[in-house]
Amino acid sequence: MATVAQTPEAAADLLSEAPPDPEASLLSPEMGARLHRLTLLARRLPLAKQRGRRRHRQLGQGTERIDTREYVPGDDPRRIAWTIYGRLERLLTWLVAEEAPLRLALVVDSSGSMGFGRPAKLVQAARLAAGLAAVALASEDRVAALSTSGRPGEALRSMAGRRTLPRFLAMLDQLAAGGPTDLARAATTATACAGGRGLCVILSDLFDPRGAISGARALRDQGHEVALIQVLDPFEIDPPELAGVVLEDEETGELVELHDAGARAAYVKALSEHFAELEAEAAAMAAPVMRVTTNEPFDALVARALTTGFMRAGTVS
Amino acid sequence: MNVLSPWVLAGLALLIPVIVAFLMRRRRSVLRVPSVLLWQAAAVRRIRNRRIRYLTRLLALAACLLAVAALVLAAARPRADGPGETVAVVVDVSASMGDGSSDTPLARARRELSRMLWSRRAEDRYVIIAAGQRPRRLAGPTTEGAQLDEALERLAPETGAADLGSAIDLAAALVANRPEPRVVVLHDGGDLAADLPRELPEGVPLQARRFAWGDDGAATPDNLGIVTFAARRPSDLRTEDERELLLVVATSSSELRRAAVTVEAFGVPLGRQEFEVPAGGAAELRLRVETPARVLVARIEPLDGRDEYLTADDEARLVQGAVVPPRVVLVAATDALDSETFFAEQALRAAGVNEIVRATPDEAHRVARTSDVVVALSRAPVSQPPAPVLYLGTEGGAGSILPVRGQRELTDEGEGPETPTRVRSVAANHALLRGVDLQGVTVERALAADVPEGARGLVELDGGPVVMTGGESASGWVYLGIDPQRSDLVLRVAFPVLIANSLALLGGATQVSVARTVPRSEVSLRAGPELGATEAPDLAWALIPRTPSIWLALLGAVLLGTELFTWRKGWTR
Repeated sequence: MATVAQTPEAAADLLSEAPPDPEASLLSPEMGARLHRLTLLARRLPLAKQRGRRRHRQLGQGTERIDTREYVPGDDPRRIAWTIYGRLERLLTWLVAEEAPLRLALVVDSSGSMGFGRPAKLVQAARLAAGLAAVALASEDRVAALSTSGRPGEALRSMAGRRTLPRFLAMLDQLAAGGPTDLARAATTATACAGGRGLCVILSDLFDPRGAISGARALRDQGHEVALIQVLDPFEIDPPELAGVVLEDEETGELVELHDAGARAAYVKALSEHFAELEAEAAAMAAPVMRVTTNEPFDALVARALTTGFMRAGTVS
Repeated sequence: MNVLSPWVLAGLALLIPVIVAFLMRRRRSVLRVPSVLLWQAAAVRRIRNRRIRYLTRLLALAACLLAVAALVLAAARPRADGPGETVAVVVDVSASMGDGSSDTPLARARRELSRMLWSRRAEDRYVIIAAGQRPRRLAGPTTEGAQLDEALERLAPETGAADLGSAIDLAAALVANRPEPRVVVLHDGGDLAADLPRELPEGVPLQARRFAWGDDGAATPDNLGIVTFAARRPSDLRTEDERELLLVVATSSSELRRAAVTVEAFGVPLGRQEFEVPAGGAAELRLRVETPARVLVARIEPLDGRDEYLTADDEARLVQGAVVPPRVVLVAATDALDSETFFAEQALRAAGVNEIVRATPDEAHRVARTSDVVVALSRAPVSQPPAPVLYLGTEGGAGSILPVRGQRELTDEGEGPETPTRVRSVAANHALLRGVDLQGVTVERALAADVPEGARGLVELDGGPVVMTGGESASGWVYLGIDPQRSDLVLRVAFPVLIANSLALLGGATQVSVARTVPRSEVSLRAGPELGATEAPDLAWALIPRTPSIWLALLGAVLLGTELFTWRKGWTR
């Protein structure tokens, strides 16, 4: 998954006009208008009942002509290639590709740990989800969203059309961090909401690597494409020395009493091992991982996604 | 509950600095983080949540306060309200209990007593009685541990048998009418006292614990010992200095033993004889020596290289007493010389009696003089003679002067273990039975009787007492209920020794001198009968005294140790 500008100029405009305030609304109208010029890329496009703007590999009832064949009685006369007949005096019929929408499922981790930081990691994750939804809806793709809290009202079934964007934004705006993480179950539920195979993006701090990876693996086994966006606070990337301090887990309430020396070094080492393990697991599933921090401006994130081709296999960081 | 040192309770003020220390201690700041997953690599410890952390600290404070309070209370020496119990402990110190080393019965009895003293409460009173040939009170009734410990140290083995009956009587008398009395006997059952079990005062329970050889699986050690050493003037003596020595040597070994006995006078060997002793049995020896010495020493020496367990019974010292035997008036129903009369005369002459006057029951009281000893056979004299009487298988009847009542005939009717004529117990310490080995004697018929008041039963068969004595001087009497004609007693060394002892007891002199030896039951190290008491409680678990001070001190120490341990581990910081 990635957002790419339709043209390099559009991407440059997007970077220069990004809102600087991190506490601003999830998606300003200006930013939404810019995002409408972008399109999500997917390596595979499953067939769908609904019509979309993405050309499928199968022949169908779309509008884009891809080839001709000899006319057979019974063919739709509107598909007869009259211009070719005028030149060659042969009756040929235009072949057109099927056109289908991309099903996008957004899983936003709203566990207690996502409430950490200023802005909170959940806000950054919701902002990213809103951007992805805006791009997808502008492309007439279908979008479903779900938070991991499992509360009613925090899930939206698959919808399409730009007019549905406010509903997504409202839902994302109301997300509140709390409770434990169960990404595996949330991912399964999200694909059910999406209504078929497609692209599933998991936005989380991924401090429950087993749950995230197992959920992603289950999705891939069902034929979905999976992408991971790891949202972290700068404190988590580069913490100060916390020797002799008692740390309390936001999510579980568990207390950890640190050694009087060397706590930071041990943490940094454990963090690098955690990243390596996560990336190895994701690479094995051909699931790209994008790591963002909460102090990173939204436009910079979009630019990073545009310039690095996020949908390619491997990590973009 | 009250305390012996109430001023120590002022130490409870130590609780205040403990609380202050908990309040003033350094507190670690708590920082909320998204996840502690990656911080666990640098963690000293993990706690489930704040509530448990708070609870842990609270428990640590409570444990510390409780520890200090317990230690202070222990130092104040609390004691429970109530009089406590009064326990008289009778410890068998007979020779068969061993020398007190290693795993001998005496050592095990000492350990048991030590556990009892260790686990007693502060208000309990204890009496310690050493049951030897005569009971000795070593301590008590007292609550003082020092006195009891000293008494425990003074428990030493004696060379003879234990008079457990008298010791139990003494113990019962000392604890009777005191709060919660009881008598505990620690013994090996080696005493064959005829009058056990004792009739204890009401409310004084008797408990016993037996520490016999083999009870714990250990083999009975090898032991040889002289159980009889007597000297008499032979009937065919050639010189006045000639003596016939009678010895009985018994063993505890489970195999045949070879040994030699040497008799000395003034360190000069007078005779030596090698012999064999059957496994678990005894050998009877007769030696003739010629010496004017009055003191003779017999010593046995194992020839098979086995170790000797008891040394006290390897040597016997005989002091020959007066040689003026009394005149005997032999009371027989007829003048005919039947077997009964024959064996009686033989035994009397073997005992050194020179003058035997025969009389019928009707004329015995007229014939007898005050210096005589009357020996009544099957029938008793019709009138009380002016001399002490030895009743030898005598049957009572209407108008009889027989001092015992309730005579009943005991016969060996079968070969089962329930035969009423089997020897059950012997008061081996009594002068009448000195050197008399009745173990293994066959009795086909006997006349048991009730022991009259003031008399003492000395030998008891399963069917009842058959040997008893009573009275004093001219009214003294000895009753031997074993029928001489239907027992192998008359063929054994024990019979002339028994007759001699009876004459010495009644008439004051005999020509048979009998040494004080270790009883057969002590030499053979065999467990005797149970005392008819309840089993004493097993104190093997009693590792901790029952005094509140000890429990409190233990509790305080454990809590304090736990507190220090958890503090070092950082669990309660």
